[in-house]
Amino acid sequence: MAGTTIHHGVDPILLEVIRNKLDGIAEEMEMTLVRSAFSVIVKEALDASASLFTITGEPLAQSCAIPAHLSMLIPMVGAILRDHPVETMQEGDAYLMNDPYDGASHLPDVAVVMPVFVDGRPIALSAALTHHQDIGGMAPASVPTNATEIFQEGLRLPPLRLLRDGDFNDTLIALLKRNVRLPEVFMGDLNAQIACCSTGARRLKDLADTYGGNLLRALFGELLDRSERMVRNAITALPDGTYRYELQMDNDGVDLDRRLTIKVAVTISGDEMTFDFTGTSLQARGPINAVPAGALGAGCFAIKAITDPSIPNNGGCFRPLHFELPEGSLVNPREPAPVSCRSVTLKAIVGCALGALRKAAPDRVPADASGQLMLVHFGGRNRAGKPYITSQLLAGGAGASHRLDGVDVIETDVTNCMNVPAEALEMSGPLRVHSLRLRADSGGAGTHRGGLGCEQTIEMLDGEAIMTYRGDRHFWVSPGHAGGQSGAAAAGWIERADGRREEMPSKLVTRVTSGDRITICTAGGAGYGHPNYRPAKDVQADIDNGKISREAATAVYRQAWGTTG
Amino acid sequence: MTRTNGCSTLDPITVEVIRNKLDGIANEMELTLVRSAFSTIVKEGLDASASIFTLEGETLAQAIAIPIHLVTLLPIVRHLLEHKPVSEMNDGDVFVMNDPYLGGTHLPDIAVLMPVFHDGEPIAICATMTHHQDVGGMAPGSTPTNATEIFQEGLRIPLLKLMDGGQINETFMAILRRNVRIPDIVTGDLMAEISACSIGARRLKEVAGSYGNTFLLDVFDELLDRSEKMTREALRKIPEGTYSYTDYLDNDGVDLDRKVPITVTARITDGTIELDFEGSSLQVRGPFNCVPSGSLAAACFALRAITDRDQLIPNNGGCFRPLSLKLPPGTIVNPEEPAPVGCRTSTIKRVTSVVLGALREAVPEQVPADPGGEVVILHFGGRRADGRGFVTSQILIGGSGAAKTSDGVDVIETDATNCMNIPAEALELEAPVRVHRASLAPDSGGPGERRGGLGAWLEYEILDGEMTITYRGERHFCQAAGAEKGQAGGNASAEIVRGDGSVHTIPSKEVARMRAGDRLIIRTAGGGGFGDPRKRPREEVRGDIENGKVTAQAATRSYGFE
Repeated sequence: MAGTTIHHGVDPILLEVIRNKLDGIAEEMEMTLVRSAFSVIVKEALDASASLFTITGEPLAQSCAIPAHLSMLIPMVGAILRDHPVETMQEGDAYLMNDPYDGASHLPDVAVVMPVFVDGRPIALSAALTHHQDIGGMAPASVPTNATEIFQEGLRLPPLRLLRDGDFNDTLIALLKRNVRLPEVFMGDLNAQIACCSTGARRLKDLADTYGGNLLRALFGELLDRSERMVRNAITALPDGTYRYELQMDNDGVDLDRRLTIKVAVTISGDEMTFDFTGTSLQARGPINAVPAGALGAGCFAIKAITDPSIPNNGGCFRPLHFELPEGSLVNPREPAPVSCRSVTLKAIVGCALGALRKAAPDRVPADASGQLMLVHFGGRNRAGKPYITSQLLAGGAGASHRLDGVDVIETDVTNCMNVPAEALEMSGPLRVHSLRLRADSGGAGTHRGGLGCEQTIEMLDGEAIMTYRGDRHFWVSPGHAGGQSGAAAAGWIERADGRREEMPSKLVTRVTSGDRITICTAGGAGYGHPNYRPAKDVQADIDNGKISREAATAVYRQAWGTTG
Repeated sequence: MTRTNGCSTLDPITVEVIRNKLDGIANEMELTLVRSAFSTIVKEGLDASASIFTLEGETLAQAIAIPIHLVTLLPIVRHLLEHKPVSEMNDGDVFVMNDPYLGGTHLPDIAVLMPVFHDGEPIAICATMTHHQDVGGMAPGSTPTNATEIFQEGLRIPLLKLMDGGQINETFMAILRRNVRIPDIVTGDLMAEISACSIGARRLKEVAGSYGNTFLLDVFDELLDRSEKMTREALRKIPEGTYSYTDYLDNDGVDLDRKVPITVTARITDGTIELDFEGSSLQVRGPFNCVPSGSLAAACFALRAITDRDQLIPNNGGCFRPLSLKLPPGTIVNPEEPAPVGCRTSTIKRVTSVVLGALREAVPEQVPADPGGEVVILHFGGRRADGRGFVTSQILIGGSGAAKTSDGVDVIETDATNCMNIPAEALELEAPVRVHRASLAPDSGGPGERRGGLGAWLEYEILDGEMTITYRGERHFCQAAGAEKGQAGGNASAEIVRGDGSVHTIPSKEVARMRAGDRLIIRTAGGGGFGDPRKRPREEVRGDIENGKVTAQAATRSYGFE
């Protein structure tokens, strides 16, 4: 690790051992969380994260999981500590919450937090955040793209005690089980969260047995302070100034013809950084509003992305950051605005923050990524009458950088989910995956080409289901950089069993029946540098690999590749 | 405690005193419930009920309120007693639930149950049910007509302890408050339910203090047995036989082009009555499915209507012992989870009129022609220009059917639902709405020797901002049939006239958005006529014309009036 001074009195080797140990504990927690889960969205898509917190609510160590979750946990843990101060906690307690208007970000994301005690004193908090497959509300999977109030989106849970002396809060569990569509899956995933937190607690106690609780707590403080100092140094190294960027989003899922704008001004001043979202669209009627946790998550991700990756990943990193989130805007909506599809907005916020920081650190930020995580949910009953809910998540292409082509079909930022393999999807519902392929010509042309999006066709085999499609970048694509071109827009359509074809307008809740085929095309990443400068051999290789068509090569890379090849 | 089962040994005067005392307690509970409530639907619509149950789960006394609530509480009390035996209950316990698939009705109806103890022994259960103004879900007011699953309809509450030793369940209250649109009002109404149960418990303890537990429980048994005996006797006076009737719901709110049949076959033999709903529609996609508590309530209402015209039989669970129901699983009268059920009141109304329609064949002089048979529920939910949220409701009804001896009554609740409409002043206070018209709808009463009652004609204007309205109508496409050559009542209709003059017709059910300047115009259905209209005395036709109830053209057309 570069350029740091060791703080007075602390053995730097011991500190590093403890830090790696904490990271290891977080990873083990994550493994427990994912391996014990019941739902496809956690088992396959890995939409769950584990983290350790100090008893004052600062992140201490985080698993390599969903970056957005990790910083979103901060206000959730804060709300739990507000309603259940650490002095009132006991060994054997656990707490949960999911209410976006109390610190969470959307209802499917339920946080479980467990205090860790050593010699009767709390030393840390062990936390797990899982995107649950369903939390009730107006559409299976609980992210209805047409909601207009949070009350339609599922069950809201304020900070509540989930366990005392290891026993469940019966009222809470009884209500949960009656209000979600798949109570067994929900409880399976909730128990996985408890197991995850327990694993973290057990390992931390082992650590305390070795080093003593007091030393450990002191070291925790030092770790945070050190990360803070390192991030401050990194910010100081960036040129002072205000850097602006803006991105558009397709629509809010309700008012389908209205584009929305995310606007940011990032001000670097000395060792501090401020993200000011003034100018961002007013809050929307549809569910793409992102409560402050979203902008916080995006800012935290951006600072990690442009600073030294070896800086210990903890809450100290976030201390130099400030946020201006205009009340009543997309990034700070008023209750009871709907928020379930806020991931779309989150991607745009991150894209926007990175776009602004590109101006401060051009060599560290590639061209805009596809900026979408397409999500499709199916909920219905199989032939035997058993209810199922399952999901597919598909990423688009990464933006090209000044050195490299963009990566095809990859998650690039705060959401870091996996797609659901065809086999898993087909096991989880009466669905058949007919194809999954790269989308030729979807990568933005450039000296360095943007990554390609993908195309998947899924057929409904049996019965009927409610399908929720949450897309974006259908109508607006992010621009290329330094002469590069933008990636292809996303698209989606349904071929009904009777032959009719319906376009999916970016967001949709619809009924699908046996024989209907749904095709989804994700967006490509933007190109970097003018396509004229792309080496001819790279163009040829793309043609040989089917990544670009001859026609496109002729049209776009004429200079580089010629008209005949 | 030892209990004698000696009916004959009880002093009939004391029994009568206690019976009246119990009715008085139930009515005092009802008054407490309504007077302490916060919501318009309870304060003005009186959509809340109170009753007292025996420890065996039979109704002991009921306030004069919403008939369907009273019997619908039965399956909830039974669910309580099955899952929480009386022996495990303590003084200070209070239970709550609303889940239709555990015995409830629809999610807005939250039941509160309180066991009553005297001298350390349980003696009865006080129960209240309130239709709460909102319990979350996909539309304000929580009865979306376009729901396709119960999960869309609001918060489901399984049987939970609301109070334990007098302490409120904090977890429950925290979750409840977070999941309803108007937490202060819902909490207020829930506290009113607790107060009503507490009043009932206090009064019952006083009675037990005067008479002693053992004696009181014996009287309870005697009261139920007596009602059973009297009901059986009344049933024996009805000709034995099998009687069938079918009527339709307009649609299920989701599949708008499909009428939904409800068929019942009543079999009367030796002082018992069986109601078999074989032949009724399979469960529907929309929220008009009715869990068994609803059909039970409708059947109990109909049974009481034909066995106790003179109101001599004490109204308690004994009356219902001769009744059995056959509700085929997977049908509209016994749906399978998670079918939506929010609008099941429309179905109960139809079940009631179908049961009465079948019994009309057995006792034609006792049962009038089919009623308007709709209770239009209209919910307004939104935000005022200053940001304040509101959810409020209107309840609208049609005319009653004509009977052999009298015309139908105009704009009146006739059966299992017994709500009041919301006065214009109250509605205008609660929501930015102006009431432009509330009048009788001419020509809506079914022509007959005895004319069916008239429906109502209403017009509302939205004054401010925009709001979501839920309109749950009925009888738009299936009118109330006449009897004995009487003609059908007029159908219901509803339309939205937008500020720009365009007109949108509401197809019986709809969740729509309305903005300032839009108007909603509603006509409710009329009741069916009884007997040939040509035989209607001419002076009565003339009187109807003079009163504006029948137009001159219609008088000529339907009554042959020159």
